[in-house]
Amino acid sequence: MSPVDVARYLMRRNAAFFVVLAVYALAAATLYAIGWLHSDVIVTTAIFFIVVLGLDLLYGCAGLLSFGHVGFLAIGAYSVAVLHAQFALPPLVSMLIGLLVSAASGYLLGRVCLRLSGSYFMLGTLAFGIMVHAAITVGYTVTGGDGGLGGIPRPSLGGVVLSSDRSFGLMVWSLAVVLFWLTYSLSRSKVGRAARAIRSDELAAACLGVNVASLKMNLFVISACFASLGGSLFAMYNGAVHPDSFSLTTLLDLLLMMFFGGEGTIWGALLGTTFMRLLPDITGALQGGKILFSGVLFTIIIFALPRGIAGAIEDLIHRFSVRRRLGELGPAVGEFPFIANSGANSGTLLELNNVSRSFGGVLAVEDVSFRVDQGLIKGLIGPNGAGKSTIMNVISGVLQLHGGQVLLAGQPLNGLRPDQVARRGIQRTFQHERLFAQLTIIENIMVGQERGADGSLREIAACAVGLPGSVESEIAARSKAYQWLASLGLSRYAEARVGEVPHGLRKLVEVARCCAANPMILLLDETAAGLNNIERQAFKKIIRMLRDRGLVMVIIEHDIDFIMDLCDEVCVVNFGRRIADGPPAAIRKDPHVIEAYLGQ
Amino acid sequence: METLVQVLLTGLSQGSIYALVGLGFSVAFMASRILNLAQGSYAVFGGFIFLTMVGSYRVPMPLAFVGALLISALLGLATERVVNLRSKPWKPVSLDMAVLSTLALLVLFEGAMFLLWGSDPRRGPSLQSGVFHLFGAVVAWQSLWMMVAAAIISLGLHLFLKKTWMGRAMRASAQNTMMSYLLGINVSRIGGIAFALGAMIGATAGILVSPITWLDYQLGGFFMLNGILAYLIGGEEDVAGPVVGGLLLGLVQNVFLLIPGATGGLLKQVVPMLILILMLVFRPQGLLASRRA
Repeated sequence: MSPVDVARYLMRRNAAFFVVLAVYALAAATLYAIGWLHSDVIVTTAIFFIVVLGLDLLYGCAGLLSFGHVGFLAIGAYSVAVLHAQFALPPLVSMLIGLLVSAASGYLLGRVCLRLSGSYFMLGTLAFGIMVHAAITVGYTVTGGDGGLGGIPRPSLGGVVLSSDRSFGLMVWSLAVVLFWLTYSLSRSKVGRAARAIRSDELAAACLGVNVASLKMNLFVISACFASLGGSLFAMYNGAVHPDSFSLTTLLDLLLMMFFGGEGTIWGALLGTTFMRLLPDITGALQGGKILFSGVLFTIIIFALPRGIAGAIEDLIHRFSVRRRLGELGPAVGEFPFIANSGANSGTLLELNNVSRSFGGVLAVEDVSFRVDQGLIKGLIGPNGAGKSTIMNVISGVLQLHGGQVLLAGQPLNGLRPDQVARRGIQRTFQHERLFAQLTIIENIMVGQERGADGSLREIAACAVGLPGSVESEIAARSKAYQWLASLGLSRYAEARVGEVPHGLRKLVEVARCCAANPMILLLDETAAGLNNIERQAFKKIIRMLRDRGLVMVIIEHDIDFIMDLCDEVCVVNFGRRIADGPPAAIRKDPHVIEAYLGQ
Repeated sequence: METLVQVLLTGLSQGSIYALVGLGFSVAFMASRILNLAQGSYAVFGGFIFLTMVGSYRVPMPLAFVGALLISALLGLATERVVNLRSKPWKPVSLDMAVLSTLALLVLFEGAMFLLWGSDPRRGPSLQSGVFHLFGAVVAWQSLWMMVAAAIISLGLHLFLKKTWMGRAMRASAQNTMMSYLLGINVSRIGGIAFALGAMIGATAGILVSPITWLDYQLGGFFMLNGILAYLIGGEEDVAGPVVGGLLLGLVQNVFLLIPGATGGLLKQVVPMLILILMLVFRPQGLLASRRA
């Protein structure tokens, strides 16, 4: 793949970046020319734009709504102020120190708060923001307390002090545009997809090989750094800091910028920030009514434009470019771009030895052993509550084992997280379809590709910068994902959203999503449930074709005929114990099985 | 000895205010699973209305009290309607959106109070002025009333939730809204009632505390935080949780004053947040509750 191809792909993927920036620059120049824009608004817009970029990366992608970012803003600002007052450090050096402090406190806060769910995460981060605010007041000997701290000089670059608003603004805007590019690239890349997958469905993302904890943590720290950077620039620009700049009102302003602009779009941050910065000029006449006005505005936005301006624009584009093309399906099953990467051609691939798992005092699975050989489809059946799904959850790492051992190609899987199990080559579907509503169909399929996302800083950096290797691998992944959709006759739905795809087809997409991750073994948990007869026949055909390509499968199903018809071996469980295991013909005649299903 | 008793009593009376705000928060949270960040604003609003009625319009105190509670109840009802504007019993509002809209309402209330009462702190009338002596400590009658109110309201609330049909319906709709709806409970009315009730309890706290701490338009956030803190410390127990948590919080804040050299500002702001973070780390389910939040 030539560098030209890579560049062309990046241009197309990040088209919105260029369009938005060009339109924005044009609009800003016009407004400035007719005197509606002050230099003050221009500079502060860039500063807050950086902060909101970080917020949107965290909430818009990973779905984490942080109320603590004013704390990081304050850390950045006060690092510059205090280090100058105490040690006369140059502002840019203190800015870096502030970044380190914010990253460290972000890491610690993340350790505490990321384990918490929804509302409690917001509360924990809110507590952090208020603590930083309080610490400023309490440490008044150093921070100046309620009086604030002044005398911060402008930074100098290469010996030139950026004392004019023009030069300082130029520096801030260059920084903002670079960060905009990086953030936008990141959100469109493998990391962005993984993050939005986490926002939609954490468990399903983990089962596709996304390292949820690590990705969330790193995004949290990065977004804290964005806020800290904004705070430092804010302090340098104003030449002074004051605790009031980091109060609940500022938090609200930041959230308003993000939600008004359009969360999850990244470029919406630019619109939202500009609007909120212009607002004081517009509402100047309101005086005392300003707080009330922003409260009313915020309330209206939440209900009228839940996805903000940018979100509304994106929806509009989606409606005209994509939804019109949805319609009849293409020809069904074609060629799969897939050959199973099995370790060996024969022998045992998956082995369960005396596996047990209990819930409280109830033994849901007790001493179950079975093996799945290469090239076979294994069925797992049993009455309701027999422990089938528990076995599946234990194999895929969703539930921890309480006894026994699971071996994949001879390697024990004990104690691995779901994403680690997935990266070893086990993929699974879920009883109820769990596609990622935040992603398009093709993006859904791409989540598990390229071995998922390990969420490491290195991976994030590679995706943000767009290193040639990472872009090439993404191009390959996308074209392979297209082949998957084409082979299932779903290529029309590639850019569709999950809600626009009929139920029966979503199940196919889920299977394709697993297969695109190149698994050694695929676990299907009641995947055919809820399909009509035609869909069921098509589904059977697909499973057979996958088997012919060398994919090993374990199928849980209630429909006995479906299982008997499809499987090479069937294992029957009842009350958490294995009662029979063998070829379908033998199972049909097994007295224990007949007793379990029909009673005596 | 005298200082100790003084500190304990101050802590308990302050704690009962936190407990009341926490109770109001708990009622709404319990019935709807919505974290109402505007909860503290009812306290400030109620307090302001009470002091205006008594101070400017010479309304008799009991009447003003009832009036303030009614207006707060309407505010609570309005909050519930706004938050659930787009939701249906079978399609509940997403928690992110709900929290955001209550945050927006917090600002909206702040703005309205700023317009109505300005930015200067105001002091409301005491139910009973003067002080009495107990083991050498000086106690304001108002502080006693705060504790009495907390005790009466928590007892009443406990009986309401456990013994009445409405209380049970409230607890049921919190656990499974959809099922409750299908069983014939009018869940949206239940939600409205819970928010109104929560707002009234919060307003009581604001009315009682205003002669001691004074009120200004920005106090809503402070009340909200301490109320939520009381709830979190106590744990997800509908009544006992916030009460125990609130009293404990009040005591801890004041007991630290016994340490020589400790400054008030530090305790008022840093200690509660530190407790909150420690709680979230070590015991997210709260002191009393056994199940995880």
